[in-house]
Amino acid sequence: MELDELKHIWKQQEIEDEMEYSQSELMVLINNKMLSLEKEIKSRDRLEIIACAMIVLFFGYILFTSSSMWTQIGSATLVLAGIFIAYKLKSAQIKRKDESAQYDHSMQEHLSWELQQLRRQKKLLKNVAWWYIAPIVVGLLFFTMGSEMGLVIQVVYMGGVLAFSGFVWYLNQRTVKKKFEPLIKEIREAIKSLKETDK
Amino acid sequence: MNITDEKFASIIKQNEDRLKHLCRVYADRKADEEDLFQEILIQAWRSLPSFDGKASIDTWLYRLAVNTAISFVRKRKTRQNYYDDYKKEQSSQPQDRHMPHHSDNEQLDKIYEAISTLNASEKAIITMYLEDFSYAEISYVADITENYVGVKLNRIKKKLSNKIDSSNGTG
Repeated sequence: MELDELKHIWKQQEIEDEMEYSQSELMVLINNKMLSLEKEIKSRDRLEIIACAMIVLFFGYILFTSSSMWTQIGSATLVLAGIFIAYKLKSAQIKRKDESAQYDHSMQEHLSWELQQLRRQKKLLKNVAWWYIAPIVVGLLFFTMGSEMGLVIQVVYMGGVLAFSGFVWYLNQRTVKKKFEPLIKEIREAIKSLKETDK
Repeated sequence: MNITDEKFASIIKQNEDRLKHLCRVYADRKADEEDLFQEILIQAWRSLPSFDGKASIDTWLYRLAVNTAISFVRKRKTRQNYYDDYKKEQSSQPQDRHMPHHSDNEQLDKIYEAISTLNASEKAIITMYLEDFSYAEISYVADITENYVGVKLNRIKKKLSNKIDSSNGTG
């Protein structure tokens, strides 16, 4: 099939469900969509920070009221973990805002920007064990050691925490492998194919 | 650049078909096309003040639309439903896929299907060619020289022909 033939078929297509926005409807649509996007981002960011603040407050209270050394060590670890995770999430938010996409740049520049975003997200997920899972798990394990549960319940609980953490880690690594790596490869190929032709 | 609401609506209206074709090229599912279209409208509205007149407004808008589509695909593909994805893959039931797009024109569907196998930059180049953009305009969007737009188009054409011919059973 020749390119001209393709073009001929392409031009015959008709758009289904033709959009018929009036000027005012179009502006309302844009305003609403922009507001809902900003709201969504703000509420997601807020939720993450609130969750960390609750951890800090709850375990901070226990830290100063508990008499068990292990519980205190666990609580202190969890408080530090909450602060660290909040810091990590906040700095990711700031980076996102600082480097927001410039959609009217050239496609090559935009693809490079996309690649950079994907690599950053991949790194965050790949390292999720040390910046997210490990501080919480270590804190919970100490906390459990200081609790008044029987030894058997403590062991079962710790086993459950470890198994669940392992599962969360596995899901994240799986996402890196199944989603991020193929996408990174795809974008790298798209950039490469533009550069190859321009030699 | 100071563009009124009225002017903006008229630019969108003028480019609506091209943009909707582009949405079909980049969106995997029919349900995503309208979302992508709206995303393009928002980015266009936000970016209008930075329009510098180096290209026509139509070409500038198309460049913005291509970049928005690339980001849209990335965001959709990396949306963090880890556990949902895991459950879907563990399930023996076929995945609940949204309706793929189909038109009444079988040849056209085959063209879209063949284009879907290309990478993100090739998709943009061939779509611009089909939409009658000049080599200079394609060069502006892709940031490659005009000469190589021709080279690139030839390569893409070969890929597409092979795909379409093999799906027609003539390859």
